[in-house]
Formats: sequence, structure tokens, C-alpha cells
Amino acid sequence: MVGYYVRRALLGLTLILGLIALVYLFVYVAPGNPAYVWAGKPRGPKAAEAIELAARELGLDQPLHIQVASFVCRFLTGSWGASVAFKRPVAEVVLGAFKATTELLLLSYAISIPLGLYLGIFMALRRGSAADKVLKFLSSLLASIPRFWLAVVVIFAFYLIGFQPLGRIDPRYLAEFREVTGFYLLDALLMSRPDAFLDVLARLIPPALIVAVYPTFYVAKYVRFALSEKLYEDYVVEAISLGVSRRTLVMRYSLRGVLPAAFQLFGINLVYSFVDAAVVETVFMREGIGRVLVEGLLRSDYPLIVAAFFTVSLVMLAVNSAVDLVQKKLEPRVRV
Amino acid sequence: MVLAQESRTAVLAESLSLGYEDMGAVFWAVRGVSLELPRGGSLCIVGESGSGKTTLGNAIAGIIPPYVRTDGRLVVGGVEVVRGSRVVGADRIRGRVVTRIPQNPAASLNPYLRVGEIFYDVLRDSRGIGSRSESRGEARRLLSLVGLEEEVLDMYPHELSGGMSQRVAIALSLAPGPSIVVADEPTSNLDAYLRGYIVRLIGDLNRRLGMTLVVITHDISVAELMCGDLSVVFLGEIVERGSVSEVLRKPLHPYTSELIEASVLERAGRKSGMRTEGCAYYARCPHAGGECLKPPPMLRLGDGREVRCWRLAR
Repeated sequence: MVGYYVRRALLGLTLILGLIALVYLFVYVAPGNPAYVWAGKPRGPKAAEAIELAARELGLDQPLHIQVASFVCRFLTGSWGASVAFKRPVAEVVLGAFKATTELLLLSYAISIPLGLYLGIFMALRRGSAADKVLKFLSSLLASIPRFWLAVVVIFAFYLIGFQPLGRIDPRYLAEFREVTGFYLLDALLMSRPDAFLDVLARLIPPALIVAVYPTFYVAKYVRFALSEKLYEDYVVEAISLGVSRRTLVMRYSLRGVLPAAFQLFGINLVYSFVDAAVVETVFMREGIGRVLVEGLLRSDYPLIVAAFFTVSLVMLAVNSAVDLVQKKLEPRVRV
Repeated sequence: MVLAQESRTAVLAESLSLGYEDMGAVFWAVRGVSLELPRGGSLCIVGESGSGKTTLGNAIAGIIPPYVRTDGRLVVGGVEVVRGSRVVGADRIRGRVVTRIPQNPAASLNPYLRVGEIFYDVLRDSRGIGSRSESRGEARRLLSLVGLEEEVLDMYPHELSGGMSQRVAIALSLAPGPSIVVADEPTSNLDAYLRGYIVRLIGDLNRRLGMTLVVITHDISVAELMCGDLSVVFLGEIVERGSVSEVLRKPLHPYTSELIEASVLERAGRKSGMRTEGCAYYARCPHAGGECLKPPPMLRLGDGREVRCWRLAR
């Protein structure tokens, strides 16, 4: 068991190193001078000097494998270069944006996981009923509706009732707002300002709900299908014949077989949620990793793009490892 | 309404039909079956796959899914289960009066729970045993009935061998304290050695524990070792019935003869496939005659060829 965790961690580490190396090659083959890009595309009298400095920093005179190795080392020590688009160190931009997105995604999944599972179970147990048919139709509709369109509709609906849920916080709080953790909900609490907390929450919930739509209904559809199939498994029928109660049958006999795969789906869906978050953040004018990526891509801001990709990949790696561990916990036949 | 004499009967079916709806039409898997099994009796229902015997066995065990169409009447353990097109009492007998030993024991144990947990669920929901220590004690007692040790309780189903799973399944079927047990093809997934053991174990439920036993099987040769009565079903209808020994000795329906021929028990009138004092191949030999009751000597035919058969000795 311990061996499994060690192997898992080593595999994760290898993937991260590989990722950074790949990121370097990405910069290397990108059009233009990597040193020019790395220096943040400087202009003006000191530009040549900055580019030369960057070239030496990047070790462009070294062989490729040495270059990759030194890039990996630099990246691991937090030297991520400067952003062209934001005129700030990349690490600072990415970390701030990452916290904003994390706040959004955490709330999304805090809604999505229980709701998706509940709806799926509800539908599976009432298969063929009117409620099931309505929910099934809604699931298909909502899982396939474009989120940017949903975002626009939601903003418009709020506009009609006189509230604009744009940005992360009302500008009037900004004068006294101090970023301590970078998570605004937490910061508002640290300031002991319940009004600011509620404002942040009110602006967070609409985009979080929109991002939650896809994983919720996707997983609900899966759970409906898989659970209703499980209800006909030999061991469930056998438990029925032995007089096991309905509640036990659903929770311990049927759902147990569905949960591992459902959590895997949530983990995989997180990639889509990052893309959704990018779109929804842009529409709601929130800062976030998605918006940073969009901005970076538009301006060929390679240091920013690679750092953002790297961060997202790191999160995906961590989340999917965690999901695998949850699966191991839920599924005794998975051997480690 | 259940009459007084009916409540003394373990299983009573009157023109019972069970069917599945398929594209609007009903396919009747069991057609107008009538049977009566007294308490403490044992009945084998024999037929090939598709004969409706599993549907019938499940109905006796109270497993009648909502999509099943019914007709006639079924009373189990004094509780009316089927009244015409309505299923009225399946919930009251299932896991209480009657339990089922499953066809495929390995697939019938919840793969996500340890065996002890499965016992706990069953004992809690059927008999209200709430404490884990009490449940464990009872599970240990039930396992000892089928010759298994307590360690099995801490294992997951995928860690059990085929024979162990089957024995666990039998012990589980005893957990709710039923008076009737339905065994559905209890030996079909086992090798010859285990088959003998399980057959004896299931037969003992009736002979030693006094339970009413219903065995569903396609293998007529195991019927004699477990049951007193035999019903042969073909396409949902009972084509012949009687005591096992009578039917095996003198089958009247051609389908029964066919089943007997199909099984190893070709010479059922004699010892049922057991090793006799005489020729080892006696029970299965198409040419067996009177002299084969004596052991044949090994005949040397020259050129290094040898054979042990009375036909060549003549």
C-alpha cells in the first residue's frame, strides 16, 4: 500500500519533469527568438541588452539537452520569466489568477458533485416516471448547451432584477480590501466584513453554477444509466431475495459500484471545467487562469502560456491522482 | 384468502402463469403450472434452459419484478403471493419465509463488501440484529454449518474460490431463518468433486434441518441426491411429475427419458452412476450386461495391446 503511494508520487514527479521539458521545447520551436520572448518582448534602448541577458539565462549557446535540464531546474525554483501582456512576473500573474479560478471551481464542484449524484440516483430509482423523463430531457439539454450563451443569459437576467454580478468584488470595497490569501471569500472573512463576504459570494455563485452545469448533468446521466443497470446485477437481486432493505440496496449494493466511475468522470470533467471557466470568467469579467490563458494566447505571451498550462496540468495531475486513490478506497478489486 | 389447509402447505401453485411483456405481447415463460409441496418436503424442478424453471423458482422465492405478468395463484408459506394478475405478498415472504441459493454464487456476493459485512446487512435487515458482535457470532455459526472458518468473514468475495463462494451463498441463504429454500442450479458452476459436496450440503438442509427445499436444475442426475419429488418442465408446462425414484426408474414422458439419457444417469434403474463392484465403466457403457457386475480381467491381445472388458473375453 505504501509502495503504491511512493510509486504514484514518483510517477507524478516524472510527469511534471516531462511536462516542464515539453513546455521548454514549446518555447524553443515557437516562431521568433526564444530569448526575445523570454525577456518579455522588450522594446526601446535597453532591449538588446535584455535579450542578450535572456539568451545567456536560457543558455542558448549550450546543447539542447543541457538547455532543457537547466530550464527544468529554473522552472522548479520559480523563475518563470516575465509576462508581456501583464508587464509583471509570470509567477505572480499565474498564481493570483489560479487562486481566483480555484475559488470558482471549488464552489462549482461543491455544488456539482452532490447534485449530480443525487439527480442520477433520483432518476435511476424512478426510471420511466414523468419526473425521470423531464429530468432526462433537461440533462441532455443542459449538458449540451453552450456555457458562454448561458453566461450571457444569466447576466442579462440579473441585469433585469438590477444586479450586475460582474468582477470578483464590488469596486467600493476595493479601497479597504486587502488580499491576504488571494481567495476573496476567505479574505472578506479575515477582514470580518460580512457584507463584503456576501458580495463576493453573490458574484461567485452565478458563474460557479454555470461551470457546474456540465459536470452535474453529465455525471447525473451516467449515474442514472449505470445505477439502473446495477439494480439488475446478480448480487443486488440476491440481496433482494435475502430481504435486504431498499435503502441498504441503493446505498451499499448499487451505488458502491457506480461511485468509483462517477468520481473518475468528475476528475476528467475538470479539464472541460477549466475551459468553461476561461469562457465564463471572460463573460463575467473575472480574473482567472482561463482569462490569463486567453489573454496570453491572443498576445503570443509564451512565458505566461507555458506557466498557465503547467499550473493547470499540475492541478489535473493532483486531482486525478486523488480520484484514483478514492477509487482504490471504494473498489476493493483494484489492485495496487 | 388463504385456507387453513393451505397454510400447512409450503408451496401451492394453482394454474400459475408467469410471463414477460415483449413489444406489447406477453410471452408466458410459465404456463398454468399447478403444484403442491408440503412443509418439510423437497421438490426438484427439472428442465432445459428456457423452460421457465428459473422464473418459477424466483416467483416461489418472492422475486417477481414489476415487469412480470402473472395469472393463477401462488401461496408460499401460508402467504398469498400471486392472486390473478396481481402480486400481493412477495415482499412478505422474500427474505423472511423463503430465501434463494443463487445460480452463480461468485456474482451474487457484493464485490464491494467483505463477507462479514454482507452477513451483517442481511442479519440486520431480515432479523433486526443490530450489533456487529452479535452479527459476527451468528455469521460464524452459519458458516460452521457449511464447513467454513471464521476467517472467511474478513475476506472479499473475489478472494474466495468457487466452492467457498457457493458455501458462503448457502450460509447467507440460511441467515434470515427461512423455512423454505429455493436453490437455483446450485451445482452448475462447480467441478465434479465440489458438486458432490454441495449436493449433499443442500440435501442436508432438508434431511437434517427439516427445511422445505425446492431445487431448480437441468441436471436430472443430481435430483435424486437432493429431493424426494420431481417435476419435469418443458416450455413452461409440467410434463411429468412423481417421486424422484419412480420417475427415474420408469419415465413415462419421452422428454423425461430424453433428459435421463442426456445425463450420465443412463442406467438410472441401477446404482446411479456410482462405482460398482464390477466394471468401472459399467454405469456409462452402452453394452453393459449381467457379467459386467463382476470385475473384468485385463486381457492381453498380443502386440502389447491390453483391454479390460468382458465383451472381448467372450
